[in-house]
Amino acid sequence: MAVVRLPERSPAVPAAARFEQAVMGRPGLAASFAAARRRIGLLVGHAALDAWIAQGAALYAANAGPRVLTALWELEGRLSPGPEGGALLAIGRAVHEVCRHASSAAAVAAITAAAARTRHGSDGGEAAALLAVLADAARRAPDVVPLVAALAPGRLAALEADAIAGWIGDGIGLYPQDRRRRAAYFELRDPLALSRLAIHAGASRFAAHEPRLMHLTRAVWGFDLRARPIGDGGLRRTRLAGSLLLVPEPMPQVPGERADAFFEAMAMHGAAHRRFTTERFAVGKLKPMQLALTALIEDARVELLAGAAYPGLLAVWRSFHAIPASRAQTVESLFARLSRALVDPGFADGDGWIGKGRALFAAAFAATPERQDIAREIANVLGHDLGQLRIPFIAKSYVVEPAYRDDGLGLFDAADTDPDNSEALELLIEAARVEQREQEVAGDEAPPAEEQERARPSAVAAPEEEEGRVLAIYPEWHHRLRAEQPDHATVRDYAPPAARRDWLEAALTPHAGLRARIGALVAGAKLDRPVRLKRRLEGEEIDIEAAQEVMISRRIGETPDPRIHMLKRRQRRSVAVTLLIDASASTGDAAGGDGGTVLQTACVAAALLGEALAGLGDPLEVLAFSSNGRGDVRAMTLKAFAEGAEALAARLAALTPGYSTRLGPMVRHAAQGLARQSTFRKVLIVISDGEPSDVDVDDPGYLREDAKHAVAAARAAGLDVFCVGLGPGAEVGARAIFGRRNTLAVHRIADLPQRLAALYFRLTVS
Amino acid sequence: MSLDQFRLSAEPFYAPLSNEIVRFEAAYHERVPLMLKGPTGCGKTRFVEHMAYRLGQPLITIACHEDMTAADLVGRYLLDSDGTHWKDGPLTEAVRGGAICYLDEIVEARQDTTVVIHPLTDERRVLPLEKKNELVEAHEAFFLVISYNPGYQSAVKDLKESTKQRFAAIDFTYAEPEREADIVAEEAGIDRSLAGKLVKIAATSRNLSGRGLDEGASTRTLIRAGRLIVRGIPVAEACDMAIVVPLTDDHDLRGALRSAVSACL
Ligand SMILES: Nc1ncnc2c1ncn2[C@@H]1O[C@H](COP(=O)(O)OP(=O)(O)OP(=O)(O)O)[C@@H](O)[C@H]1O
Ligand SMILES: [Mg+2]
Repeated sequence: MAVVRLPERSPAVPAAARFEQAVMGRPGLAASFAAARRRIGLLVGHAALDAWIAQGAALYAANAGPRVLTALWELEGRLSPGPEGGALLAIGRAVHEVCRHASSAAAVAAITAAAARTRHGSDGGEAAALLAVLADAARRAPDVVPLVAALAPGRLAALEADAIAGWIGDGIGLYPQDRRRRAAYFELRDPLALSRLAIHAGASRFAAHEPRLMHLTRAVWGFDLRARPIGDGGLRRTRLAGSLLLVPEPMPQVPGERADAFFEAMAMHGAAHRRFTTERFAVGKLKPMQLALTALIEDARVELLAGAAYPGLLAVWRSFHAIPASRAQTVESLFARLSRALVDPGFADGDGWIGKGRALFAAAFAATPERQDIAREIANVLGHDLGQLRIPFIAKSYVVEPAYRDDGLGLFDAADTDPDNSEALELLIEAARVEQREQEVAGDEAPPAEEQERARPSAVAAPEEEEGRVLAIYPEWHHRLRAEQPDHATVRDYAPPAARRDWLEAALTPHAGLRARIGALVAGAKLDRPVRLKRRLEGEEIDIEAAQEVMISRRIGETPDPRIHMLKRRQRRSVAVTLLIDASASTGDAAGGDGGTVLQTACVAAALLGEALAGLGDPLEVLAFSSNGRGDVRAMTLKAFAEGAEALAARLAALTPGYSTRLGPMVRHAAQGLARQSTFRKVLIVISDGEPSDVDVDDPGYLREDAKHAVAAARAAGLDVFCVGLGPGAEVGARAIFGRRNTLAVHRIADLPQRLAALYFRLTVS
Repeated sequence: MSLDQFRLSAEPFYAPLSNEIVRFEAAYHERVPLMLKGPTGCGKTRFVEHMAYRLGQPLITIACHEDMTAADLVGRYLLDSDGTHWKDGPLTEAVRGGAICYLDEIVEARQDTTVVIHPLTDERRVLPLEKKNELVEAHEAFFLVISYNPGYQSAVKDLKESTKQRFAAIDFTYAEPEREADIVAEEAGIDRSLAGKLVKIAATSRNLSGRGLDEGASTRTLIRAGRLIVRGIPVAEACDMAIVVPLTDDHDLRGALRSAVSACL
């Protein structure tokens, strides 16, 4: 057996010495250990080397197995750690943890995954970060490690270790006990796993940037950004579709740390086209290469025009042109360099073709910058030259650079193509089809500005048969993830059914006494009661009592209290109310007492309150809701704020119970409408007979916690939120969501009308 | 009683937007009460100061606010060692002594306060001091001007129709860009091209008024930004301090405004 001579000092610790001897005696291990030790010995200081050997000894003693050790040493042998050995030692520690909590096989998988993101000569920081994440996972759920390790070089390759940690945390949090479902998550068979992945990939989603860019587009250009995410992977770059911008979701090649600037560059580029590319180019006989060149030059033209007004935009765009000067004669390189040369005067590239393009463009742009045809004319010349140079252009694989720019196809009018020009036709027809589809879907009109605040009005495909129009899409809170799931529940608009109101009229009659009592409350509440604020330092009147006291104090030689004024104030009512009525199937149960259903009783109560408030002039909205899965939260507007109360009774009378109770999104929706009212107080009252439930949710905690979240958010927005829980069962559930003090339990449902009115006046008359 | 302390000693710089000077003079000579309408910080106050100087009249300015009572305008009894005595409020001073009285942001005052000006705005030109049981006839030189910003107040807070219709109005907006840049350059002491950039920044923010912002950046904020720049604060930072941060707390709006600022620089 060959004895390998070890360089430099021998370890101070006897255990380590024994370990080195043992390893060197095993042919499978000796060579890789010796190689790693030699390299590491050269790079790190003595202390770090000792620590590294001690780590190896510990792993060896823990029976890590030869596969783990060789894989680890192979990885470590690639690194160039600093003298302290920081990342190097962190790698060893993490691998040891994985071995201990999971298995040797998991450790091998983890090392392989880490090696895949480690270049030769790197300091090992990335590998250490990933291994630390996997070690943490091993402590919490060892079964997860090999699954994540298997995904790391593929699906997770673009994610930073932090993002991977977040995604793992979600999976374990979602399925803390259920190993089968956990495995489904980490094998990406669970759709939730994919959506969480997209969220942790985060920055590359346009949606995260959209609100800011909406404002920016409006500020700089004076028009609204209209964008649609395209999720089917069909796009690699944005595409212009008239005034609509189609955005790949997720967007490829977003530089993580500059995501904000990247999406800004993208949106502003699209806007510059919208402003300055005033008509589409005719295709005629242009070949794909000339199309690409025309688009490239037009890109530069619109950017320079925009830059004349907003120089800072040019700086943003330029910052993404990173290609260096070179001699490469491929289309990819030449086009990217030409793109840069046209917008970046400081860019020096010796290539003749690029120089020519630059000169032609500079001259034409200086003469007539607004003339769009310069792009086409110069493209013709440059395209011809490229043909002479015999540089092939492959339309299918050509991708516009830099990545913030649009793919250029939206700049052409396919209808204007020479029928013999099949290459260009092929390219443009498909683009035209996508464009048409998306435009139809998006509708012709931009959505009204107010609705865009929080809920993104969706432009989802045309409704199937009787599905209601989409009002808004709201996030939902996932209590296990402890995170919002963006755009999760769709609230749709359903018209209240038309029906006769006889039963309600009849039902209201026995409540004549109650009506009268409510009427008295109204009369009391209506008065703007003047309030006298006494003993003020300032005020419009003298408080005679106080003034007398002053006189007396003076006489008897005391220091008088100077607060002798009085203020008169009128307390003005300023309250808006939204009544949210649960109309789910369970409200069809009998209410007890006089025989109606729970929902009917709720309607009687709402009708009485509606009457009263009409008398008071308090703005009132009445909504009924139910749900049929998260895609169909069904909202019915029985009375809008802007409407009079005339139609309310008839619509209430026509209400029928059905479907489930997805409370959270509906609270968000009602709160959003209410928040827009300009009154001093805004009161949201929910009338419900039970806990939230829905057909697509089997975790009972989920909807409750989401509703709780929605209520908290509404309160944070300044609304008062109350619940009237109907029937003996409702109390506990309602309290959990609305809080004990903000829940009014009505056990005898027949009492509801009176209790509701009493509640309202207690809340709003101070 | 002399109102000399309310006379302006130097001419306040004012760059006219159109013929508002002529209109003001005409209204003044006819003693038709004036309402200056326009967004905040567009030069209304400065204009009144300028006009007061031009006409050689003292100017009493009252900034209205929610807690202002009628007594704050007309006066009240105060108590001293010999009992009570009456003290005129600033409005009464202007009415008695003959001054231009400028009620700034009149909507901010409660309606029961604003009604005290009614008898001053019709033929009678009197101010009743109810508490004192006195009817003060307006001095011949007394002239009433109010300002009113139609932009931001909600429907709840608006002038009564009966109040509005007692005034003739002059509409103000921000000066057109060239003129506004002149004003900013002059007032902040910065060069004309930097002032032009600030004006452009303001224009982007004004595009957002009613679409996230209540109002865009005013001329005043631009002058402030300019002064900070003169003090050595870098341009983008000064805009952040004087324009972006005061305008909104919304994260996305701030992001957009910051990008718009750097786009203009
Ligand atoms: N036309 C102008 N000429 C000279 N300076 C101006 C002009 N317009 C605005 N300014 C400058 O803008 C500043 C703000 O104007 P001013 O205080 O008059 O606004 P305002 O309309 O009265 O605002 P607010 O409604 O908030 O009281 C002034 O101090 C002045 O420096
Ligand atoms: Mg383009």
